[in-house]
Amino acid sequence: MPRRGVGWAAVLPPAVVPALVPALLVAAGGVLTAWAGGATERAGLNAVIYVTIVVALSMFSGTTGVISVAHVGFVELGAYLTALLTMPVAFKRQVMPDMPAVLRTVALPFPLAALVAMAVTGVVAAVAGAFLMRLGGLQSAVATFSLLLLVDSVVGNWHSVTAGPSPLVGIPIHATTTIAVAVALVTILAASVLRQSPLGLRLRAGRDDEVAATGSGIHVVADRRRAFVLSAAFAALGGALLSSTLGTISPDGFGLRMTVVVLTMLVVGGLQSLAGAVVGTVVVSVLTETLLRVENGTTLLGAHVKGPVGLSDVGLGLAFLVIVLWRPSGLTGGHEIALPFGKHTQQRKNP
Amino acid sequence: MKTRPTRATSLLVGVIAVCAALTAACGGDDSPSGGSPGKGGGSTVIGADIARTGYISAFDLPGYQTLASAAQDPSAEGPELEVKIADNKSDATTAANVATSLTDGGADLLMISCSYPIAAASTAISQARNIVAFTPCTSDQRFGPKGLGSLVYGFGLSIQSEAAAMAEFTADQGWKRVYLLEDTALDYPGRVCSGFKHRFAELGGTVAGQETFKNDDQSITSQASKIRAHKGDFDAVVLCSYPPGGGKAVLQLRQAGISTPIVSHYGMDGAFWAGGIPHLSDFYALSPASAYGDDPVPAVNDLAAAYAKETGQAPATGAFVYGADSASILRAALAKAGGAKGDALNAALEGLGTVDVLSGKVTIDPTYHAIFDRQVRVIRATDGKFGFFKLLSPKDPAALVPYTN
Repeated sequence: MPRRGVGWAAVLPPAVVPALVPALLVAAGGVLTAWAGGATERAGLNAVIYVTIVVALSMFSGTTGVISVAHVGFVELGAYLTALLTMPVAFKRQVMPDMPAVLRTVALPFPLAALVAMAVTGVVAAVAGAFLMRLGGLQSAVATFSLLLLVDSVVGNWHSVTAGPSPLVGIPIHATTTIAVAVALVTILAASVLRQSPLGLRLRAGRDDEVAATGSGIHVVADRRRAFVLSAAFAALGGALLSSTLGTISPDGFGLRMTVVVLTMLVVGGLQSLAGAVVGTVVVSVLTETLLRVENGTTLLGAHVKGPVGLSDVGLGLAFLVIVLWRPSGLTGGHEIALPFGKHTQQRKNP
Repeated sequence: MKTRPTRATSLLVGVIAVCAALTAACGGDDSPSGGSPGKGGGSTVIGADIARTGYISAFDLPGYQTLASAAQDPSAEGPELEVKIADNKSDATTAANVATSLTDGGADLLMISCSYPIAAASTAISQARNIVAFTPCTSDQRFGPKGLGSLVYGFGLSIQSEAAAMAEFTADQGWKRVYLLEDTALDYPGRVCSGFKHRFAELGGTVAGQETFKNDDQSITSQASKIRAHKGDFDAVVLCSYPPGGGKAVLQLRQAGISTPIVSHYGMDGAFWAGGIPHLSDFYALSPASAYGDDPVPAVNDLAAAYAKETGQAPATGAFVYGADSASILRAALAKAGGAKGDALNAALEGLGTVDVLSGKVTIDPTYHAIFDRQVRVIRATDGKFGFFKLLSPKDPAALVPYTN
């Protein structure tokens, strides 16, 4: 449990304190990129949405120590459900006449659609989790990967509903930087509360020593299933934002490629801390965007620089290799981050 | 409790400082190449939001290459063009960011990827900014007002033209019964096959059977066996696919002893996938131009030679003409519109009529923003050597739109 500090953080509920620095980082990033505008704001918006997704994954993998490869499948479900529920009825009738009437005749406001997407994805996770949460280690990774493939395959082949492998276009655009930051802050707060709750304590006990936790009367499988459902619902919320950012989604955008990006963000930042999820996302996003700009040619500190084709891919690979070798536990080393001034709450590893 | 700043705190300060520095350092100029006139300058700037890396780059780059060359051609008549390229990495999210960056940097027009999902992300930006976007390398009704937007165009070979040409060529060759082999990994080959079936039936042809596979399948042995079991019931195999899976399918069909002609479409254009099939014969594909120096239009062969000289390698497919053709279309429309402003240029493109381009004559369909009258080259492989075989002008490809959705 966090220890109450004697500074101004002492007036805050303990469950909120670990969320302070990650929340400030996200809010500052949102303001900074929105101020820059244009492509920088767009890159910032993507990064903030990825914060929601990575923090959602850390709600499960960070607290249980079980790596889930299925979460991008939940992001995909959230994205498609929100898209299908918010697209105008007339547009759906025109371009997707074979869609089941229950979807074709409905157009919900974005917040309601996102909530429905979270609920449906939560149900899917609850059903899948009943089987998957019994597994651990490599078996769990393989099983969650299978779930990802299953979702990806259904989305990519259900032509009448999802347009199959073709992109779904005409999705109303609602996600602004402000909305994405607000959603990320709510997700960070929820993750912080989860970590400090009795459920969070039991999950961490199960993560650190499953045999001892079970011997202490903790039902590890049931608790992991609860965390799995919760994190899946928030991952779906990230997907809802993604679909509402571009106005188009396709199965190509999810699957293994996004899974690698999300896991990299989590590992680079530090798997076991909330701050790690946010720092990892910010570092990977900034590095990616910077290298991409240098590759395409940009003005850097007053000089025009242009890198060779493929610089960003090679540069990112090398940077992540260095980070993982230098700090195997991630940049935060699994620690939460305290505010850098005044007397404050000090949090150590495994809050 | 005594407190102290942690290493993680220092890290946080470092991360924020680096991020702020990078944002400030790179934020001053979002233009990917900079230093050239944008809106209001002397030339029309085309922002090429295409893939230089990733799976779609092989299709995107040839068109870009000849478009950039055509833009630099001092003898070209009409408005001046300038092309700025930024790599979208064959990724939709990156494509949207690149579109934002290019248009912020002064691009008047947007050249978009051949891939529909990636182009969809780019056009979400261009459409909102009233900027005309075009893809040189395909021509699909879904790119235009019926799909991606009212300001989006496709200047390449249309799916309907491919389907119609494939059916008419097959029927003309006297191959009245065919067996279909369809790749279902993407919907593009299936849509061509669907249009083919409709037109082939109109021409009196029959389909003896149909098998499907996925592009990344390592083996199609079972499909090949089923096709072989119908030997004698068909005159040709019609393959709707693309490399590398399409190449593996051709190889395994021949290995299974199926020696009938194989007819395919633009997806299988080029010889690069056939290296492992040294004596491939009786294979036919479609292309907007012959990349082998034997096109019936001499200017196309000159362009292929210039392309090889400039890039150090011969064009892999006939897609190299797309950039040059696009430059001609755009110059004609820009001259008519008097500028690149979205609505005016859109009206000019819709009312452009028939335009002389390097590979022949083309007309932009104002309803679908696609080209249905582009002439099609049939490319034939004989003993492993690919070359021009026949020039086709398919009849009324637009009529196949309802069958290729």
